[in-house]
Amino acid sequence: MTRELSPKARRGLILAVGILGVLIAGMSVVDMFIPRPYDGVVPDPYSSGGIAVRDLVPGGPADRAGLRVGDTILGIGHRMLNSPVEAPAELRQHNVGEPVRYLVRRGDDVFETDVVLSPTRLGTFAYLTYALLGFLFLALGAFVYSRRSGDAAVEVFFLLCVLFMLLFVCRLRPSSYYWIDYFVQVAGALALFLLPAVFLHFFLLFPAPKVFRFADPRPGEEPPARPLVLLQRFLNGSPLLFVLLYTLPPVFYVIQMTALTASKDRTGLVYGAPRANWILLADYLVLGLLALAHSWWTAEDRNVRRPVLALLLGTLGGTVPFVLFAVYFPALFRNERYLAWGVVPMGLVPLTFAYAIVRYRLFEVRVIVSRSIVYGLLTAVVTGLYALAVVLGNAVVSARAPLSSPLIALSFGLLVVLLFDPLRRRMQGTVDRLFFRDRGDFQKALLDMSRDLVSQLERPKLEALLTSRTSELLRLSRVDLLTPRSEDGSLVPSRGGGSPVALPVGASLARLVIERGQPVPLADLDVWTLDAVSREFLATQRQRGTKLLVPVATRGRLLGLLAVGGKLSEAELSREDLDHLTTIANQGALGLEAAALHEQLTRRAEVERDLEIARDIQVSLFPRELPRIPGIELLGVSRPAKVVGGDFYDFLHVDGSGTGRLALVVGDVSGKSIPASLLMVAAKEIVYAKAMADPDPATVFRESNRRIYEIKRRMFVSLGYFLLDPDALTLHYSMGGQPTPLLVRAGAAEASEVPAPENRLPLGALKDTSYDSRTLFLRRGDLLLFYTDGLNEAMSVEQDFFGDERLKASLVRHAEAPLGELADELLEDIRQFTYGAEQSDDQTFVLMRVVGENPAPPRRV
Amino acid sequence: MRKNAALKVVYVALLVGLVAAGTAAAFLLRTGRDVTTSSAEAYRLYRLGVENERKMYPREAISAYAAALAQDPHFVMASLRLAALLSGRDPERARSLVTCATQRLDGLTDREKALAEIYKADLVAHDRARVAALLDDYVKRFPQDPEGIHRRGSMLLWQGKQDEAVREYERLLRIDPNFASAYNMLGYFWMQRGDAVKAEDNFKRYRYLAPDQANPYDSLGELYTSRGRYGEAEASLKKALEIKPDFFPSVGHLGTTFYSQGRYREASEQFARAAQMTEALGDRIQFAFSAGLALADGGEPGEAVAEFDRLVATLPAVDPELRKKLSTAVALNRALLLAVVGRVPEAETELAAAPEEPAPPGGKGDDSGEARTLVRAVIDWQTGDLESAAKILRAVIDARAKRGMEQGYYPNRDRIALAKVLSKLGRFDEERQVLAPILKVNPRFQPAVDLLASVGREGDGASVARN
Repeated sequence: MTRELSPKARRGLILAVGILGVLIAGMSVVDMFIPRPYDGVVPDPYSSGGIAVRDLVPGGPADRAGLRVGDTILGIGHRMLNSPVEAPAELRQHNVGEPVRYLVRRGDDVFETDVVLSPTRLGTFAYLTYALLGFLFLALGAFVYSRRSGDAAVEVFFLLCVLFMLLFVCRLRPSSYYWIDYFVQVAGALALFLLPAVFLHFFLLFPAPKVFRFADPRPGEEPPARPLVLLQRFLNGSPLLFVLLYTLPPVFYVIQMTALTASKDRTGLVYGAPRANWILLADYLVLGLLALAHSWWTAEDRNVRRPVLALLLGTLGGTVPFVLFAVYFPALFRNERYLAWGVVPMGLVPLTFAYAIVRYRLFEVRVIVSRSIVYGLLTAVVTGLYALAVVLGNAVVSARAPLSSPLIALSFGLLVVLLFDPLRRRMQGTVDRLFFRDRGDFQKALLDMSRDLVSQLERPKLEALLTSRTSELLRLSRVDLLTPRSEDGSLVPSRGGGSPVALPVGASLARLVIERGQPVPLADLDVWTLDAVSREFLATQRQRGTKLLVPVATRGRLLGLLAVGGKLSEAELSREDLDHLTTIANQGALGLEAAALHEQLTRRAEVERDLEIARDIQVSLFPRELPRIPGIELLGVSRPAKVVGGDFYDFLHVDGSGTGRLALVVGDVSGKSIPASLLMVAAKEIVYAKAMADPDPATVFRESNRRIYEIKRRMFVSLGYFLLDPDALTLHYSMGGQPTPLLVRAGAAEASEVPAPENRLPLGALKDTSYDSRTLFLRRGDLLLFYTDGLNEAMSVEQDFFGDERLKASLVRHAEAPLGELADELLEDIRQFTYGAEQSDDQTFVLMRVVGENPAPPRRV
Repeated sequence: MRKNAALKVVYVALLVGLVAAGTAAAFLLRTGRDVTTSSAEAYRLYRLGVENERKMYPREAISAYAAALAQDPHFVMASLRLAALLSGRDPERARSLVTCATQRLDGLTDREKALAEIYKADLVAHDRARVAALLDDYVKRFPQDPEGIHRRGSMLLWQGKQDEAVREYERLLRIDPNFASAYNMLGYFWMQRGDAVKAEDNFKRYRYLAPDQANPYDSLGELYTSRGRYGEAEASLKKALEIKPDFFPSVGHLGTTFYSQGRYREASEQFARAAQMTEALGDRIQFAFSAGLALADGGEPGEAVAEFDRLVATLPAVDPELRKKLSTAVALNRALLLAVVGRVPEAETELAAAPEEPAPPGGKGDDSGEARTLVRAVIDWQTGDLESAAKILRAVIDARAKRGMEQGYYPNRDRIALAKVLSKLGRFDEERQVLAPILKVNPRFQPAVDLLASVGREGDGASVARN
């Protein structure tokens, strides 16, 4: 029936069965522990013609009323009774504390006496144990079903657990004769009908549907007899087999009960059910065990044999005592003395299953942090020990009068709790190691991986984590990472190979995956309308065996895509697997983002470092202090356009001392990097070296040009070399690539360019270049401006140059100002012209003013 | 899909069937009537009548049945039961009721029809043999009906088939261990058999099951009286009268208790009370006789017959046929009393005048044949024909013994009479033998004790005289 229902309906039905079972079992337990009127008589269960008193509860109602062992109770409450089974129903008609008239025979004497009923609970410690066992079965069944519903064996297993619960809780108990009894007894009877069949049914399905082959034809042997073939066919899936399986117990019940009712013989009942049904139960249990043993014997896979053996041993250990002491002894020998011996070991069955599920992942259950069952049991055990210790302690403590204060008892109890807490934690650790090692390893591995994902800044290692490590941890056949390529952002395998088809980020598939924000099974994509490139991409992925696409995204931005293959075990990816992949992908996204940021920061740091170095180099190209030349005022200014500039100026006493001729060198290097700075340093040193050898500007330039050319081709230096003779007030110079200095004669109203040499190629441009020089005679009050092209080529926002004319005008305008002020005004004029525009080039200049006396006319020699 | 639909139809059908079956069962169980009547109130009154009948409260039972018939005039079983109760006082009406009821048997159950036949045979035809045969058949057809088994048991007892009766009652108790009356019958059986332990056991069970009824206490009182446990007897009988002050059997048994203790005057008073309380005319006559006899045994013979006459003078007017039957009983009992007190000619006259009729129904004790024999025996005794008297009395005692009535007030009385005759004959050993069964059961039976005491003295003297 359940097979034809939808999965949802089937789940609902099974859940309903479970809930109903729990309700009835709960009612049964409550019923057993509700106080009932009781007379304190222990009857001989097999007496007839009255209730023979086998024993009396000392101080109980019957004892107080004067009854004795050996008396026969003939009637209770003015009703005659024939057997002990009628007594509870009679007692239920009365209330606790009510005096009930009993008719008693003692020898030949018959007398009446009033027995005042006292409260009692039908439930005993033994029943509580049975009930706990029953609920243990239920808990196990619910746990397994919650992990893997939809599997036929699991469904049957759950029903089996419910039936075991009903058997223990509802069948192994006395009648209370309250209305609850009706439901409980019906449920217990149902359990007795169905349990044997479900037990056998389960082991015919578990660990795999049993297939009998005893009648298979074997090569070289005679074909088996037809009855055997028919029997094999019948056993291998005829629906009649299960009809027979489930029909036999109720049929037995009806036949037996009819016969017993007709003969009014209650001695054929054991716990209220016919003896034959109990024996049938035992037979079915034995058959189930044989089926399990057969499964173990014939299993070829070691991974199946081990857990099945554990189950077989545990089920044997639990079921055989039950069959012997709880079924055969009472049924055949009317001996219930050893009932507990038969019921208690049944607890091995659920515990064995639980162990197999946890340890061997039976039912292919992935045990993910569900410690509640074992920890709950552990807590219950330790709590029980607490309580026992408290009770015992209090019993000892409060037995002594001076210490009988409740405060003492409470304090003692707290002390015990505190002392036992370390014990609980220690036991918890042991349980973890024993039961959850695999899971603990897995969790640890997952945790380590998560840490690595967010802390790994190296992209290759990060990609390895997301691919090979993930597939290893989750036992997947393959995990590929697709990341955006730099050219167009399309998603391609990060490590090359793989799908030749890139997935553009704007493709419908990519957008879909981003929108979903969670793993997308490829099978789910069939219903979506995708663009051609997405479809092509999907087709390629399917060919590669991809089952799932997992977005690696953060803040809506797709940083990558995981293409996940199936599990190595070929099982379906479970919900937990998907959760893990989602977690890994999310953390992977954080990791990728962090790695990208790290790369960016690293690059910037490198750039800044280069710039720092270049800056240091450049700083070294400027003089620390201006030379003091009598009669000459000098001022040098340099405003680099960027962090590192390319201009420089320096002074050189070519005569070797602080007096004599002074060479002024103003330069400009192409490029703004370290190499440019280094070239500038080299050029400067070359010029200096040449100047020291022969300060003649033309010679210096010629020699320097050749040397610079050899150092670095395609990099050249614009240089101006001006040799000042302060005594003669002459300026002898050569220029290569620099703008012509400006001269404002004393009292002149305009500035002019100094005569420029004819050959003014930058140094290093060509290998052999000759340079010429010029000489300028200076007079007092002359103002010279040596500058690089950053001044006159300063650009406004309108893209206009400052130009030579403005420069001249500015120089003239401020010619009378002290050099410092003049420099500031000059720069201010340029700034105002270029207001709002970024400084595009270094602005370097040297101002020279002749303030000394004019030199004497040269002596003729 | 079709298979799903078919399965759904099957499930729905099963569900509907279960509901229907449950409803039908609930309905049937709820009604649970065992007799046919159109009125729920009539049925309730009928059950009340049955209850009172079991308690041996005939007046209340009559009222209940009459009320039931008022609700449902066609209520056959109520008519029959009312007829049975009225048969002792108004047999004509009883006959009429049975005749009318048995004409409306259509629509009744087979069980009711069978019971109607039994009532007809008993109350109309007075054919005890047919009643017995019908009861045998009824029990075969309805083996689980406690009422049927109880009736058959009673019939067997009346037939003197004690052992079979006991088996029947024991079977009844297996079917319904709480059928209180059965314990009463068994108690009387064992009491008659002389097994006081079993008798007391059964009477106590009877009392346990019906603690609010007078009859159980009465039965126990009777047992205690028969065993000489007079204190317990009086207490039990007084308890019965406490429960039901007009329970005349207990009054009568109290008389027996006093008589057994030799308190003859008190005994006479109780018997006289009982005679006035009872509505069963036959019982009245017997109680009247007992009242007179107690006076006679107590040394007041002159008042004995007068008391009898006084008590029977107030018999209600009844139909001529019953009157005739009553006349026989009155005459025979009067003749016996006259004989006991020594007024032999009057006794002879009375005996001769008594019509030849069987004892009226409902009466306790002997039928008229045996009564005549007793009168003759006493007359012989008084006229000196002691051998004849002794022979007759011995025959009566033996006849009772065959019927299982070895113990009890009447058998004891007969033995006392025989003992006295044997004493006069000087056959003291025989006298002792006659008294021995009485004293074996009740060593405190005062009349026997007194006689035995005198036997001891006379015996010695007589043996000396013979020697």
